Amino acid sequence: MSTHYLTRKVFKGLDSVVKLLTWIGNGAIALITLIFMIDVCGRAFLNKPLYGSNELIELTMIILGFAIAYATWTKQHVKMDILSPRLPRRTQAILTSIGSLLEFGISAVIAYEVFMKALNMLKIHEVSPFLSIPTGPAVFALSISFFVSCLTSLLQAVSPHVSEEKSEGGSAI
Amino acid sequence: MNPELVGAAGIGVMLVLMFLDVPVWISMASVGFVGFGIIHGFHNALNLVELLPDATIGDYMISTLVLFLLMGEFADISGLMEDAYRAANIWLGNLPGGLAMASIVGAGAFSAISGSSMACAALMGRVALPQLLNHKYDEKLATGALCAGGTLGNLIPPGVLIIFYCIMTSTSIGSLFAACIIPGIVLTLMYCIQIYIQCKRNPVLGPRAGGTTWRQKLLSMKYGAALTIVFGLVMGGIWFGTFTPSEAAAVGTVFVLIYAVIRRSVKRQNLVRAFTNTLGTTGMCFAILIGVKFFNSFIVVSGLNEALATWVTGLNVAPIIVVIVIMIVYSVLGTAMDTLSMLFLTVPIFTTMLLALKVDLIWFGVLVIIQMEFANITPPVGINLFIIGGMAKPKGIGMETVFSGVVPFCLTMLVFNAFMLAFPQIAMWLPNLLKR
Repeated sequence: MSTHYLTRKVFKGLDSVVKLLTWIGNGAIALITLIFMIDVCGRAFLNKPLYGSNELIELTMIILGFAIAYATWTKQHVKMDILSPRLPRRTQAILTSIGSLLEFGISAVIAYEVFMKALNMLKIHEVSPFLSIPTGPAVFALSISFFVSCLTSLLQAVSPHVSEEKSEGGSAI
Repeated sequence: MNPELVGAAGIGVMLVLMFLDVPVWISMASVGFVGFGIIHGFHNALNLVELLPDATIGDYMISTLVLFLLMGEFADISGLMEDAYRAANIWLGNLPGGLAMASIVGAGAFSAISGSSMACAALMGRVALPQLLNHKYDEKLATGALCAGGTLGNLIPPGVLIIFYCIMTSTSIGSLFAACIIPGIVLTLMYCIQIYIQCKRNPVLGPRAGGTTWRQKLLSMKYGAALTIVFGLVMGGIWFGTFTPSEAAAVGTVFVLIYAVIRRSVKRQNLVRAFTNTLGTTGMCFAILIGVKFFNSFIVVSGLNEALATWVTGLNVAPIIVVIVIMIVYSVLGTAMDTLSMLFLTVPIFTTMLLALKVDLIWFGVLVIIQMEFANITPPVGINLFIIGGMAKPKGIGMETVFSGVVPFCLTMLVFNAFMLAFPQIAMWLPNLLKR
């Protein structure tokens, strides 16, 4: 089995996972908006704000952590882009690979530590203070996001050309 | 090793990584993690990794950022930008350089519901550039005005950079929103006056468009109605204590979406794109915030910020001198760094020092946002220049035209900066009034 074949397989697998995470992330954004609207309308018209809305928002925000995996996959993380455009393509590719390896390392450490934390939270049945919602699964979702980011960075480090086609680039700030 | 020395070395390493094109969040997180580990041991550094990520992004305040980003996306779909430009055009088009002024005013109006400089420059470029060129406007003036219009994106609230600054310095979002309003209006007026003077001296730069009647002018106000309502709802809600900033952002987002639905500009495709764009930018912001938290923790344990604050207060110079020096540092950095990197690198270091000097962080926030916007139009790395340059390229306009076209606007911004430094009341009057 050639390396190229393997990277394409990993690429396809990750692509499907990121698509799923994107839909969940989009859903989380919609849910956050909805929770706020229910809270505001309830308070304004019925004098009954949504009980535990802050908790719901904060947990949904952690699930929205999937956005990090999406940003890594679409190469939207901010870079300085000052030096590299002036360098030869080969040097640019080497720098990109070094950056991706560093990203792989940091994402792997975060994914592992957050995963262990989520496991611990599940083990001790940690719940939110007002609504008693288990908090472990949300933190677990965040570790998945970093795990996907970590695999994406590794893929970008070993085979930058495979991941070129998916880049949408650019942030909106 | 001396922790302060480790802190200084860490900043150096981080800058090298950033210049080598390592993503900003990775540069900050890796330096933060390793630096923290060197000073406090790697076991503690790993504890930090366990604690920070979910605590950072699961912060209620950060939902404000996500919702304002979504509101900006919906505003793009709804055609509010085109409306703002159309109304400004009818009012200002017949003045010398009127169309360029209209693009500035239109960008200012759109900034009232969108918090992104890039989005503002890009949308205005798309809407106004063809019109400016059709009316035989000077290419330098046209592109320069569009780049400058983008600088209002973050200055006029709600601005994403404002929210970032408030999260980093634990200052009130509502107060900084209020503090940015008058400077935003002043800068809009200053740009317009500059264009008027340029075109009055040399009418070829910006010929007058056809005149409009008062009836047309009054009727055009309907184009600005929705925008005014959203701005009033969002900002009024925050200032009068009806909503928290996050709730106001949610209400504004839903209002803009309903407006877009009524205008029948919402399609499944652009709705999904709006959410996905928000998701991508959110991911980028989350990652940077996590990186900043790591870096902040490292700087705090290194004691570098405290040492810097002690050193600066020991100099016995007036705080205003320190602020002026910081502004000069920003102006220099802005020619080489992008705004987000600059903001995240400097604010954690400067904040402790400014607090020791009893500088108002709201006023300083306004100055920082202005500097960030200035960096967006200063060659060679100002992002607005590349956005407008990219749009102008198919029309045969080169980057050198964009670069020279933006110079008068950079000078206006320098004068504006000096104004804001000399008269803090311009920024602080409204937040102080709302506090009473």
